[in-house]
Amino acid sequence: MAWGGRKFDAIVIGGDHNGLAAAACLGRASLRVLLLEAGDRLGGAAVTAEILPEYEASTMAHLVEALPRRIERHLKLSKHGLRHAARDLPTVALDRDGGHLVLPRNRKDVAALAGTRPADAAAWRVFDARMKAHVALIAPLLFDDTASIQPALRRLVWRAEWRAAGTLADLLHLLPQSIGDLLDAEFEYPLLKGALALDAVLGSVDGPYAPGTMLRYLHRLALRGLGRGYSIPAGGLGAVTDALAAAVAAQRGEIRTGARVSRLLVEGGAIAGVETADGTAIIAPLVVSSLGRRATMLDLLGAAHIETAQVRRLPATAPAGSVAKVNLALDGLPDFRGLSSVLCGARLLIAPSLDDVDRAATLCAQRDIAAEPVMEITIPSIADPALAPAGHHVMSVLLPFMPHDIEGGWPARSEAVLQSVIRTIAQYAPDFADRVIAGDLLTPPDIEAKSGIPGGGLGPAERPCLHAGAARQATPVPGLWLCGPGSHPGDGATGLAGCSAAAAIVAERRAR
Amino acid sequence: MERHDAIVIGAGLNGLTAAATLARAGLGVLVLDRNAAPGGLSASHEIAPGFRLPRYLLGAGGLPARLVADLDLARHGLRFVRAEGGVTLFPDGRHHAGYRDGAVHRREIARFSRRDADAWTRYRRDMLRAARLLRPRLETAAELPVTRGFKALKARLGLADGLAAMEAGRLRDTLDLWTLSAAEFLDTYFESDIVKVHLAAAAMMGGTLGPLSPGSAGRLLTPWLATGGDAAGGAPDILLPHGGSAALTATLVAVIEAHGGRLRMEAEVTDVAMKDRKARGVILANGEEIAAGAVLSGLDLKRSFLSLFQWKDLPQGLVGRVGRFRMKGATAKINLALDGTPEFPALPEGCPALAGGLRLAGSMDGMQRAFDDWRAHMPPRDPLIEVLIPSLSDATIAPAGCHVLSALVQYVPQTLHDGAWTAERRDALGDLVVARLEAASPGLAGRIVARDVVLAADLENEIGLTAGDIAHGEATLDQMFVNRPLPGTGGYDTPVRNFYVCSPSAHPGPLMPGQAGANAAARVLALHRKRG
Repeated sequence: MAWGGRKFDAIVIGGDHNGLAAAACLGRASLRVLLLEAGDRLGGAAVTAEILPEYEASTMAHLVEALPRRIERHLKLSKHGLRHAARDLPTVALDRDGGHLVLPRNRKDVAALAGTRPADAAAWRVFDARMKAHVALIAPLLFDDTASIQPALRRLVWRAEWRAAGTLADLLHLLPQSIGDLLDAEFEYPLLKGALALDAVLGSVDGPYAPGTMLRYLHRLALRGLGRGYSIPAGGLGAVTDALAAAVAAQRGEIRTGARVSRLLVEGGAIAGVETADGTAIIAPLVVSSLGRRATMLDLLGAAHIETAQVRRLPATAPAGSVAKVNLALDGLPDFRGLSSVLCGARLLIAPSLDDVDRAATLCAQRDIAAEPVMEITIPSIADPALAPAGHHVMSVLLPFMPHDIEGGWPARSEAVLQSVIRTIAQYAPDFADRVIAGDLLTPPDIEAKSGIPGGGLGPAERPCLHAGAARQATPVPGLWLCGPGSHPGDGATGLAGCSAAAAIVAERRAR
Repeated sequence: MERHDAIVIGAGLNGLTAAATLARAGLGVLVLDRNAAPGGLSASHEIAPGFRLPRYLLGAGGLPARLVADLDLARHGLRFVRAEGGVTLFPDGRHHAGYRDGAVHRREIARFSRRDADAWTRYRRDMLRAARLLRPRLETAAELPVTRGFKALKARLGLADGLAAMEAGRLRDTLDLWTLSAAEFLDTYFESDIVKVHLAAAAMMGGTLGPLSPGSAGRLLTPWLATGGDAAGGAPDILLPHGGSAALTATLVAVIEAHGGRLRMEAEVTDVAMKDRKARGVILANGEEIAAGAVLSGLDLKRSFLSLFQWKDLPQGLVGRVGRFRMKGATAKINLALDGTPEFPALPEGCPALAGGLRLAGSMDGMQRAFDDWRAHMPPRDPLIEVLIPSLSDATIAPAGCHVLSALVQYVPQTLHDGAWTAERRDALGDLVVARLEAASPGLAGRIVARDVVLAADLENEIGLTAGDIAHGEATLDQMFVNRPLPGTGGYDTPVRNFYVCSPSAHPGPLMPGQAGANAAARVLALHRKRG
């Protein structure tokens, strides 16, 4: 009934951002929550760590892409210490010859694009309006916590009715399409196409020409619309974790690290609690797991408690992570050819063309790596100088399409990959190689091991699923809920899956 | 001027099906085709004296059972042979055969995995269920009412309610089938790679997706759409027309002529005659004009619009929309005449599944790699090959003791990244395929009397199929159902009045052979009755 003399209404398994968010939200709803994390630290892929003495960086995830304002406000994260060093970062597609492209966010950016590429700027206006219209249509499907899909679908039809005729038909055509085909039809500018394609597929193993990548892109735009664009929290991503943990504590929730759950206790078909690896049984009528559907259902619950048909619907294998990370300490700001110092702190993309992104994806599927990888770069110490000694900087490079199981093995190849990253960046910033003091590569298996999340949690490894309602969080076992990767409404370090699960739980309790 | 109720352009399988449906309903039909003999893609061809086989396709496809009944083909002498479900031969000499009988088929799977033998029952049930849900939607147009107005809105809301009313698990299954890759989908059932590759290899033939491409799972359904579901618990059976596709073509022609329809061969249509923005008939290459109440095109979408019309006559934007319709050739065909019976020592003596086709495949990754090569416009290094030896079940198409062998080679690009398909490269492809066949059937190379390599470009040149795409347009979800042939259409009407598309460029595409033709004819008949 109790543990350490306390009774709990709910147990959350997994101390990553989703687990923490779920625990904090349940705490807000006056539930007494116990959070159990198997590792010895919290945060999953959202951590800040030293890469060299005095140089700190977000070692895994490095940008807050879409921490919804709703969650920030609801959990009073700013009161718990979350500050943003930079908000609404622009995205810059780097060009080898210095003709960098700022992905348009507003009219001024479009006008700037029109100066050099009038046709593409005109196409962008059309494209942007079309995407916004569709995001507005499907966002309610993605983020509604209602258990039933019917009202959401009906609303979609009604909303489409108010827009131009053919909106619904266009949406049905768009969702299953590949972003590559669409970009080829709409734009000419290789830099623009490369950047948009990378934006759509970053974190997944699907190449830009894979059918259905438009759904990924729209899903991503919708998620982004919930937050305030990209931001860099002061103190790195670890600050988000700390603020969430503080929010849990503020609601008298308890957090235990180093407590591995070995199985779920079931009584009379309903969840009764958990048993930890050291044999302690902890009783609670509600268990929320952020470990992913398969791990929770098969490893913790056990197939005996699930019907065959549902076992079948579990993914056969956890999606393998395909994102690697390079963290570098620099003795000064690299001089990106033609890039203004203001934009140096932006989100920088190296994806020279759609073909480069496509080739990276193809090679990844063949367990290989391109000689010049595509990447997403941030230099967080520009906005947050506390991360590095004065005048020095840290650079954080996210590498998509890195095969989990590389040909020849990671130990043999990681040094070459690190060098190829430095060489590639040096093509844009000639003095770059000399500036590097130290750097290391976290391979996809490293990230998986360190974050404790299958797939690494650095990007949406699974394909997004349009609303299957609360069905994605609820399980066939009463009292067991999911809030991890793959549960509604999908991932990308947002904490949204955790909050959605909590909201669904609260709604169900209220209904009872 | 000569006048008919309806003119069908192209005497391929769909054009003939459409014409037969219209003729049976009493309309005066004229079928025009530029070639000397009917058949189109399924036309037969003599590669050496006495050796006949379908030149462009494997020749396995029949018509859906319902169409055969509707058109009363049996009365005109067409018989079908039921073949077992095909066999896959692996490079290491192992094989996996498909059998109609459930007990036999499960025993076959149990050779690789006992668990998979049980999983087969579930897989089969789920596929039959999905096919049952889908089939009625393929037998009619897939229109989404897009017009403004109360009735259309009500229909759309009804569609939303219909989706919402589906049980959550069922909805998930349906979405999975159309969004997952074949490999992922099969992973949720089976553990043995052999079992998975056997199913995936059959599904990937003729398509433009790899087994690891998202959305390729939907192709696994195709064999189940063709079967009546009476395969006694085993693999779906394959109905082969007795006498090959030539017999099917001949029977359709007989039906058309028996009901007063006419065929004119070597009559190339160069233009659709327009008046007041409506199609009024066709103009032939020799200048002759023939009037008709309805013009049905059995040509692919691009050819239908881009070559039969003056672009200025077409509605604004249509040329661009048609231009964006993706057509990609991915198959080559190798035809062989053999002066003896090919032996396959790795297969059991007299393996009945051989009649349903033999596939030479390796692994999922290997197939995906072949697909990646194709996307990079490289000639295949390790192609996926499907072989049919029609003369095994029909002795009339080859001289006594001799055989014809049809091989469909998957993921052969239409154009190469570094130049043209020269004669040497064509031969190299032929040699590669023969070498693979020789490995499976020692001695086969020495029995070859004649060899014929047909590439995508040949399809385009000889029968006018754009890009040599035998699916008449990529069959991905953004070009299927309501998005086929053009986004938001899903039917057979076109922006040009009285002009209809009855080729697989229209719904349901390559999912059911002949169905597009029958559906288009049904639409024309409905309008004909309405207008009187």
